[in-house]
Amino acid sequence: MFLSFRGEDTRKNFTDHLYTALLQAGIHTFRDDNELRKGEEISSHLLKAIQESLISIVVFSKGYAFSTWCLDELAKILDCRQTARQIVLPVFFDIDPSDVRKQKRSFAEAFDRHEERFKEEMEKVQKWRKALEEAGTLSGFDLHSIANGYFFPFPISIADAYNFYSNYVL
Amino acid sequence: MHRHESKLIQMIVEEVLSKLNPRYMKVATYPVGIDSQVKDIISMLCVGTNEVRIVGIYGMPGIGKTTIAKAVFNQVCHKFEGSSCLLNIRERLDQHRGLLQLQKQLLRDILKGYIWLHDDEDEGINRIKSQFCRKRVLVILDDVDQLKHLRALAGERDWFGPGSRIVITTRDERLLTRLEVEKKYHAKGLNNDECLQLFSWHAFKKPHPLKEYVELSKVVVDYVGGVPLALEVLGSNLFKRSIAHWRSFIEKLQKHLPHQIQRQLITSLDDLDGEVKGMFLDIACFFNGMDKDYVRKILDGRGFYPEMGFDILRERSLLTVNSENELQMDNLLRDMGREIIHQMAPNHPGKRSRLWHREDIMAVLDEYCSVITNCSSFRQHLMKTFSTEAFP
Repeated sequence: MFLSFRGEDTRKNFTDHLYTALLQAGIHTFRDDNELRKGEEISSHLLKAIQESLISIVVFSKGYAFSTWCLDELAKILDCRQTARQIVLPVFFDIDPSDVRKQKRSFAEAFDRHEERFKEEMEKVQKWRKALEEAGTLSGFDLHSIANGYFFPFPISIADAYNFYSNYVL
Repeated sequence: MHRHESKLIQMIVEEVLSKLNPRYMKVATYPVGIDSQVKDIISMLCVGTNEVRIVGIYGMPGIGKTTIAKAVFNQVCHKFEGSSCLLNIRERLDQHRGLLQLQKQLLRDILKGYIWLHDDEDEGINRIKSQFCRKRVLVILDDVDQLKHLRALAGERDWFGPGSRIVITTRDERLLTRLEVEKKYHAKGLNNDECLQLFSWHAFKKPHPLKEYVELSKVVVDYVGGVPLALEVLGSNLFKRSIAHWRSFIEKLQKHLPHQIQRQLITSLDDLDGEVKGMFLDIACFFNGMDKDYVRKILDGRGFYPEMGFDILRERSLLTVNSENELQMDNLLRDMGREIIHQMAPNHPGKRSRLWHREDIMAVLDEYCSVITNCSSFRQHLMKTFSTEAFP
């Protein structure tokens, strides 16, 4: 599976732990090593990794939309969702799903910047917007609601949620 | 890292596992106290070495053998080339062509994709042998009670490729001995804290009892002991019930086991010989907590074969002998035995094969006396005789 996230926001704690936990569970996980990025374009190596994944997890953080890399990854992931029926699990880390869906708050700022910078390539920006809109509607995991003890936006049953909850709440 | 974050990570991993592996199994709604047992078994499995190993889990019904086996499966199945988890074998064998169905599931799980369906058990055996002998597989055989069924699913170690692991759950330790399994694990249920926690999850949807229910919860948990099945049944029965309801429920509990628990436990007597069953019922009604040698003499006098019977009951986790040489039967099993006798004639104590409640005994004797004689001094003498500590 593929793990998409913005390193500056979540790498040192959350995504590193998630990545380790996935590996420990025997799940072959590929993540884009943010630090090794060179240039602007997403590498073909990365595209291939996304294409070959059965599942993608997208960790949305406040800064996610500032990275054009992340947005390119996301667009590719949602392409694969359409064409290859890839399963996409969004994780709303420190951001509301509706901010992602409608590109509000920090995402709005990010897009102001992108629209300024990619004046010539507006269709690219539109593609990103569409991708975020779609991702924001998928059922996924919302840290905020877990912290409050609610589980609504999950694709799993309440019973399952309790199941995991009981292991960790104590 | 924040507590909620680790919770979130756990949830994501579980979700991904279940998406990636459709055979990933739901373990338990509230998996309390499972982790340490699962760890023990995984270490017994020694995954990674080249021999074929069989590990057996035994214990009384409802103690959580299946749950543990499922959790083990989830945690290690990805390390094998193929894996299959056959649940409830004993029950499924009762169905039409049950063994054949099980063989087919085994083949299908491990070979994936299309398999040519066989129509005869021997053919199934041959297919399993020829297809699996080069594969490193994990097979869980849950609730096996007879060796002959095992022979049609996992007859010999050399049916499976090097590094394969077989996990068997059973109520009968003897079966594991006969199979010469590499390791046996006695599932002993939960400790006190875990019991209260599991019960609370079912009764309150919380890890601890509500304040006003703490004492009542402890009464229930003490009675049930470490049997998760019973904690679950009783907990859900008491969910959102008033204190008054709890009190009368507990009072009834001490006389009659709830039907759901009775039904589960009673299957553990199904394939016992009449004599061993008789011994079980005698011990349940009269001899729990008494000296083994003393009871042996009485049972001997009853025409049973006590030494053999003790062994069989012990192997099936229906009886233990403590360090003081006293017979110990689990509360639930004892009451299940008593309930069997009670059900013989719920309203006519005189028609039951065994009596242990003082009121029942006196009622029967009363009836008997009034028929035989009107002599009240005889009755008084009887009253005195039976007012010993045996019938408090």
